Amino acid sequence: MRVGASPVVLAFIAAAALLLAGQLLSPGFASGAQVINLLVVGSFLGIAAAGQNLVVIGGGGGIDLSVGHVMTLGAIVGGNIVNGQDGRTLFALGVVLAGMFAVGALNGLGVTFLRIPPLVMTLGMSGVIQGLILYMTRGAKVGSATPGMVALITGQWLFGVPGILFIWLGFAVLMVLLLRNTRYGIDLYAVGANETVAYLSGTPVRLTRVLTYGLCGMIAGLSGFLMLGYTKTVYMSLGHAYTLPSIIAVVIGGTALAGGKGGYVGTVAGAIVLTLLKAVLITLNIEEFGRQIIFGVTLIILMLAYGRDKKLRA
Amino acid sequence: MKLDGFFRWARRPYVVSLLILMGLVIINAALQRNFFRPYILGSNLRTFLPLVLVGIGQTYIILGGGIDLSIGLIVSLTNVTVVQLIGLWGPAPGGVVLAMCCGLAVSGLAGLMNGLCVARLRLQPIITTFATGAVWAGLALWIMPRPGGAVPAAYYRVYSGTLLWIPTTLWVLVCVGIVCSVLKRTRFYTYLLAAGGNVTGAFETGLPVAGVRLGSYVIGGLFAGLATLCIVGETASGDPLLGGAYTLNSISAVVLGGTSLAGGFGGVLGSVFGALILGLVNNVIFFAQVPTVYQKLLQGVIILAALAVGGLITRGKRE
Amino acid sequence: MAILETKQIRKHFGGVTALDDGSFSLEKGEVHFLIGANGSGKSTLCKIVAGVVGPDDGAVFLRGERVRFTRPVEARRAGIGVVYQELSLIPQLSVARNIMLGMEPRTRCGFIARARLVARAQEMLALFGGKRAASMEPDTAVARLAPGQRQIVEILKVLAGDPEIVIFDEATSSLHTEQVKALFGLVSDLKRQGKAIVFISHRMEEVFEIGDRATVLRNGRAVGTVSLRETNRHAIVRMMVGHEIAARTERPGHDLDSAAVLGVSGLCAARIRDVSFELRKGEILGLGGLHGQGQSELLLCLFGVSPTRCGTVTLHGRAVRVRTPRAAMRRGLAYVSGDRTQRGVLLIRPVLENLALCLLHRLRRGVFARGRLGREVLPAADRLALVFGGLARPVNQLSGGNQQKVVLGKWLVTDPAILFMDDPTKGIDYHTKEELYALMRTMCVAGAAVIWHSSEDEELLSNCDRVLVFNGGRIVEELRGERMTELELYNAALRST
Repeated sequence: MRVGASPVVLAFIAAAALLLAGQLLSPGFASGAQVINLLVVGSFLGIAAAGQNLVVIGGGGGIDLSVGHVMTLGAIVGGNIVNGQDGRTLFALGVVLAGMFAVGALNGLGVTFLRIPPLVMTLGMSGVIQGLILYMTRGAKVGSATPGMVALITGQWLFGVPGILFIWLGFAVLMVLLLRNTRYGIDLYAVGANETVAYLSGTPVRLTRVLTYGLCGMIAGLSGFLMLGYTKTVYMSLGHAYTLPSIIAVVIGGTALAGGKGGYVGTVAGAIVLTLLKAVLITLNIEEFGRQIIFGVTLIILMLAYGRDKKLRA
Repeated sequence: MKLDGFFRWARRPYVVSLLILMGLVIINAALQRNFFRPYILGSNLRTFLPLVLVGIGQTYIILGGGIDLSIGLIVSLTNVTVVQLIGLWGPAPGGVVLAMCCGLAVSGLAGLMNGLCVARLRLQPIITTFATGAVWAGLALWIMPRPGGAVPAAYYRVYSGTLLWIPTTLWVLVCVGIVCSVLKRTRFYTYLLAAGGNVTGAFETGLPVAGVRLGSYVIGGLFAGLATLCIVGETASGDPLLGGAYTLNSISAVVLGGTSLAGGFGGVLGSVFGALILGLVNNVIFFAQVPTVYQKLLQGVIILAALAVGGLITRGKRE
Repeated sequence: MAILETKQIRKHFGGVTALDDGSFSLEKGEVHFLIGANGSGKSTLCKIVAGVVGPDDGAVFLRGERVRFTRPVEARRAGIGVVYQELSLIPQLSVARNIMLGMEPRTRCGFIARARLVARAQEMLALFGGKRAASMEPDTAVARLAPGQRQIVEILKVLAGDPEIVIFDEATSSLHTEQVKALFGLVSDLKRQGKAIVFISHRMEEVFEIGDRATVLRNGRAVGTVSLRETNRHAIVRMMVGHEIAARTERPGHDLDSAAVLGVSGLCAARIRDVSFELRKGEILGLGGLHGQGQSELLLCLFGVSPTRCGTVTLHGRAVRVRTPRAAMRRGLAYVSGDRTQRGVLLIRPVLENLALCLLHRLRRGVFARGRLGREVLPAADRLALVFGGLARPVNQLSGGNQQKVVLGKWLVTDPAILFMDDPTKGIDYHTKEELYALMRTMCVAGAAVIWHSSEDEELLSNCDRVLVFNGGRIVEELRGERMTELELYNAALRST
């Protein structure tokens, strides 16, 4: 990388700068309640981006373009099962996690065994998921969150902080543990850093990859399910806008697109930066199209800083 | 020997897609009685032509070892540009034609931007074109926040009509065919295949690798623009969200046609067949009276299957 | 006047001296061979002439004038053409297009004139003379050709640029006899046209068949140029070996009657043919011969990476089929690669993860504290006297020697019964090498067995109990006891198969 300091540090600095800019533009931006609100909005991106993080670390051009749609599907499936009744919440969660894991694992199987490039496979899968969503909802809003879920997510637990932030914290701890303290985590970094070396050292390369895509799907489903507790009802474009930001968050956080390095703390920082960026842009009264353009340009600039291919000349 | 010549032809990249296409034609004709009547054929051609063109554009990019995830959004951008300009300068034919030319220029410029990022700045094609796609989408929304606009009747009448007893769309197809055949005989095309097939070898031979890859992105953009002009002739309006599906469909068409996503192997003809296959599949789904709720799902599954099969085929051929 | 002359070229790569005194001269109309053992510098010398790398010292003179090439294209434009073993062909393009790549004949409008392109390609193919040697249709895609045919296309591609000097860098290794004959016919034609030709080859029969003169390199220095009519093979081998016989460290005697732990019989694969031998407990078995004769391939086959076509492998007397590295590991095998950046270490990961990589799947639990993992691997790091500044440090910050220790370390941790070492000391400093040799001996005394492929003949002869010499994918000789000398090694390595 050509940037001198650690990307994680840079990301947190950027977040602070954006917070300051927001406060200057619109006093009250950085107030306690506002900050908590922003964090809540950013938590769903932050959780979904964890799955994307895993896939990118695994290398081999790993990327999941179906993250957004899996989120929506997770919310729909979950919402359909609970349909406003508390008793079924855990069951719904279980179905969502298992189902979305299966979807992700299909991506993984296509990438590993059929040698379809991850880009194409996940893009195609997102098309299938969209069709599935249309089928399940028949175009109309169906299913809704239970009062219990709403309370859990948006209700306040401690110090006026809503439940979702605690959930995110717990999730983050689990993620860090997964990457640093498990066999799977070290295997994943190895496969991403150098697949040949991993293979020659006895790492189960293909299993690790399929598992990773499965986890990505599962985490995206989880994020969608949690988001249901926030939006209270499902609508079809719920997760659609999360795919590109999940990639940007991962890159901001220092995970190399080539794989093999980067961790979840950076991704959390990236998710916060993006949420703040969006909030600042809204404060500046920049409409949706402008925000899209800025996100696209941001990613390109990040690529320039972090990820240029090597020159052909030795 | 005749048999030897046949086997040589059978190894061409587009053969499998041609066979699948013929099969689909038969199925389609069985489901739709008047399939072969000129009116229906013409209507189908008008519907399929845009994807055929986008598929051709994507083929050149992929042959050079790249890919363009923003190509569908270039279609959106060009769509709204052309329609807005027609609103400004039309309905006089001169104004309309000028608007069309500007549309082509916009699409070419978008392709150029993509090419500069990928070929000159050496950014990774997938993420980069994904990002530029967001930029094109945003611009499209800015130019025309809601679908609308009106295109003079003359435009779509010309598009769905005939010139010298031959349908306009057929003229377009023939002209494009000539352009592609001519391109195939240029050094550019050979060097593009070289850049996609063995980039280090091509570079060591002294070929202008970055240049031809840049060119392929511009060509891709221009074909997307041409496709948009056809779309405008069909829908007679602008829609900033229109182009999205074209990206995945164009990649599917290319893969179905036997072109390898790694670059250097394949050709335009296969992608044409691939695009026609995708169009006919939609037809079949419709005429088989599949309930609407299942349609998109079925389309998605078929595209995924096509990608899987296509991937397996090219893997077999290259090894 | 010599058309090409190199004077006292010196070149270092990192800590290794590839060339110390690279000097030779080339006349018009001659075929000049560059001969030398592994690491003698002949390839580096050619790369400098071809403009691929630049010399640290010394000069290259072309037609009497001093030249300095910074890129291969410049050398090509100056009339120097090089045929390498790694091909620059485009697999999906046809033979004709590959031959004429970059030089396509054009019509008035600028398009490629296909008929003329094919015709020119046919002319080039005809240069090879005889139908069987170059029996290729110009329209065939290169991907469908056999390796020998591809090499011919590469040769024709270089010749199509009409170079005055043609360098063949080990270009005959994939050609079969008929093709080699046709190539030599072509070379004679080129001689008659006044071109100058340099051959790098270790096949002695080729040297004496078409060579005019030969320059022998040893340890990066040119030790002499001889006229091939006035000398013979033994004289050349003597020049390769030199007159000093290096003093060899004494090895503790090895009990040659210990049980066989590994038996190979009639093994054949993509690049090895009919390989049979036994490995005994506590033994260090060396694989020698010139580089790329099948030694690495054998190790990869035994470790389950490359598929085998025929033959049997037995471990402790029982026939086995090892199909994947994991299966190999389960049977107590280990594979230490010398290509550490591509196949040895995970460069961007920390030392801890590298050392623990092979161990991971032996741990009973999938979750652990990193500290505990560190405690498991530290003993191995100590044994290796690894200098690493902390387990969290990424491996790419370590020196080359220490990186190689990490590779060895991760296998040591698994306590293997048999180690396959694939040229593990390439580019490592002397001191670390000595440490590694000592470690090898300790492990063998403790009951392990080692198969060691090295391209440094001296190292091989000093440390191994026996050496199997490879040539052309076969074992041509087994050296032991008194016959383990460089002279014997070279004689066997250069013998025609």
